[in-house]
Amino acid sequence: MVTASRPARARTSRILGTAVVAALPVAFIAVFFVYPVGSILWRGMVPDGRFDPSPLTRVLTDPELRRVAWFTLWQAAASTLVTLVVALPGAYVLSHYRFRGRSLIRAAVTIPLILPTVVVGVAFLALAGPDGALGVDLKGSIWLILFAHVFYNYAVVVRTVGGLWGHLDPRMEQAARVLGACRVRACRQVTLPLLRPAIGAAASIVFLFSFTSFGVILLLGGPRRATLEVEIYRQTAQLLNLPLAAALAIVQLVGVFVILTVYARHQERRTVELNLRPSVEVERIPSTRGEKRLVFANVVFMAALLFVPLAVLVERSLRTAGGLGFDYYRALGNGASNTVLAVAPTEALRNSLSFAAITAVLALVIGGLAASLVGYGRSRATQWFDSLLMLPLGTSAVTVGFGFLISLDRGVLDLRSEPIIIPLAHTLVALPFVIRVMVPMIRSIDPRLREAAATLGAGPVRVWREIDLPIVARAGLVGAGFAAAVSLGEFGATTFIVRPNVTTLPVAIFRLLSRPGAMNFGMAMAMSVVLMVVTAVVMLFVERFRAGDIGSF
Amino acid sequence: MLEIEGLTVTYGDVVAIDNLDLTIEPGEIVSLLGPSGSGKSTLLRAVAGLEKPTAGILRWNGGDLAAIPVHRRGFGLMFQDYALFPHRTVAANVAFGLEMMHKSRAEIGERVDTVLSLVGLQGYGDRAIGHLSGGQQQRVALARAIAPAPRLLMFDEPLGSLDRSLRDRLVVELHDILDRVGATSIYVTHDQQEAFALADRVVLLHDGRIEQVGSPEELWSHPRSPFAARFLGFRNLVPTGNARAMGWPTPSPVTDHVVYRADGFSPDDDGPFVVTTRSRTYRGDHHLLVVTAADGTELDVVVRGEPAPEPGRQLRLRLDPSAVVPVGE
Repeated sequence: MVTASRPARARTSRILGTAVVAALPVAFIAVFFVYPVGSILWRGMVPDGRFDPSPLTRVLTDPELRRVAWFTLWQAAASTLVTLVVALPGAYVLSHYRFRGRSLIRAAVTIPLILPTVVVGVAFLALAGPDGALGVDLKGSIWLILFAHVFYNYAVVVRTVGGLWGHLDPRMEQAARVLGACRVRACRQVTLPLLRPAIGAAASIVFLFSFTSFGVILLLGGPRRATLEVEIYRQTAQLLNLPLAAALAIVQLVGVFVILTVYARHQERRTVELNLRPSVEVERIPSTRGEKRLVFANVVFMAALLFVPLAVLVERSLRTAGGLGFDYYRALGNGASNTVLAVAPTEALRNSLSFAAITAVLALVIGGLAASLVGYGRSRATQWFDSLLMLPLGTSAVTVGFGFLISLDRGVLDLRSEPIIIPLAHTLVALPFVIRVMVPMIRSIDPRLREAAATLGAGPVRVWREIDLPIVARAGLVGAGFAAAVSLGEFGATTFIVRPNVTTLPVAIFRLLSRPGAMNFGMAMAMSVVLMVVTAVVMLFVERFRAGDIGSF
Repeated sequence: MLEIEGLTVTYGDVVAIDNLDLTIEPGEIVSLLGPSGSGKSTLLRAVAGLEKPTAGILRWNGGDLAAIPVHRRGFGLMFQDYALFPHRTVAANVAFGLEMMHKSRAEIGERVDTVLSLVGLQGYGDRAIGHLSGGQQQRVALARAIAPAPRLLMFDEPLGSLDRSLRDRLVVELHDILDRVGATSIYVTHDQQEAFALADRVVLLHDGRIEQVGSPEELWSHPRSPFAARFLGFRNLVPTGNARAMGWPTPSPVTDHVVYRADGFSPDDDGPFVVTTRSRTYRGDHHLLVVTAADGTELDVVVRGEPAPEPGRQLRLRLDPSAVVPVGE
């Protein structure tokens, strides 16, 4: 009898344990994600205590707002298309040829992914804005926006598509060739169909990033170019039309939902079993003249794409009226209160750093609990929990910020004037990244290692300490680092909830840029460089603890 | 007719094929046999046009192949691990080569059915590749390769990843199918049993060069070098001088080495071989003895039926004269 009740008791305690671990992440998602998003839906559809569809119908019928929705869609589609066209050859070259400096370039193309949007925006302003280094003012033109989106998303395609392409059995294409298909035909009928899941996934992600692009468009788009995100911001911050902003956010949420569904479909369609090969079987040294040219052209393009905007940014931050100098940096360092920022610039840096630290701790605790649950769990409940945790990933930062603004305003949740609201928003934005980084590392632990340790005499606790802890701890450090980087660059949500007397680096850069004057412009450049360097330092720290390619993204 | 003249293929500093000459007659089945790294797959890929020769000439019916790209050569190649297209069904895989020839839909359908039934897969056309067993995938790959009726069929270790018993069965079937198709074929393998079972002529490769060419019987009855003898699985390879010194039978005309086949021995108190038994392993239908001769030469000896001798005892053996195999020139 005693033995019979043992499984039942073990089951109960396991469920209890799961519930305890899950409590904090679930509560966090409920209060800081579900409740704010629910408030948006409520505010958009029930503006004055009773159901009123007029804000929604206005969004759908007002020609001005329809133009905004249309622009959001087509600029995202164009960004996706252009990114695919320029990045697919790059993905091919980086995954198929071995050449000197390849690992450096591979690492370098991912830099834009972690750069704060504001830094990217500022870099492209320095390049082709008014008074830009190229000598043409493309501010407000679609080309500058496309260019910035390509810069941002190039790595998404290279990593997602190249990751599969570099392991596709080359004999597949050779088999087609032997059977009489020319190079183009073999590519079209064999390689592209096999790559389709990866291309589809990459395209969905690029489309999503471009669809929800905020900082870049706010800085580069000028007054005529507004996406849904920018319009939500304008309606909230300038026109104070909250019901309309909420209705726009609903449209935005629906759009994001559709994109994520398409993405999930592409992920599922990976049902054809690909006989993936180790990359050494795929890679070769470029030998013919054609191959050498292809590699060279792509490497030059990548170097230019990555290097030129950032180099121009640095150059502009040093160019003063009296030649090159550190004037703007000195202006940042002087502790006096700045008229535009209402605080001293050093204060913005200090705020950014402390918010990043708080975000790292919060994300480590909440994300660590959630990741262990998902990483160790095998049940359907944990899978469901996994997708719940991914929800904020798709939701744009602007929606998060707007939701915080309209929901966290009463009782104990009245956090509007508490600075903690900023790291809370950052934690929500960073959480999916932290989990995505930690879960694969936890899952990568070979169960045979635990078995080996157990046969060598280690008890369960000892096994966890010796085998799991070192990896989980490292995963946690990586996750915390990621969270700090996300926090440092976060702009979309922060602009909504930040108070005038509190500021972060991205917000300060934006405020400086929105005022005329060479000094403000120069200081924005210098501040962007500072932000870039701080983010890079955090990411270097992350890279040191990261194991190979596990948990990319 | 395929003519290979002075073919050399190098990868960086590595010479995979070294100045190789070979002619393959129409309708002939030639097996390229050799250990891994001997260059056999490289030779196949060079003929297919997937590898660019560093030097040398490839000719098909007298015409130089150098300027003809892979897809215009009209050669069929069956890959190791098959390289089936996972996004196409069985029938669509088989149809691929025919589609490239711009055949009509009706023609394609008919040919696909014919070929699938030839390989014993009638009714499998709509299956997905991922749902097939290893042996079935192997048949699909074969069907795909022969469907366009290529002028030359090539096989790159097509049975390499299957288990022994399935291999033995498929070799017989493959032989049958190749006979019926009647195409000139090159068959790459590292397994001498496969090579012997299928080929009219076996080309033994070693470090990118031809070690020996001949019919299976020729190779088996007279390996041209100690390497060839060892690779064909012969043990008991003894320098002829040592053998003569101990009074063992030697072949005539005399060669450098001699092999005494392990299954040619039998215990006999008047036999010429005086040896000491070192170890004894039970192998089901026989015992395998390892014995040493007076000068320390080790021999493997197969003993059937009789009570096997104890290790450590002296033993006299007789040898069937047909088990004396000359090795070398």
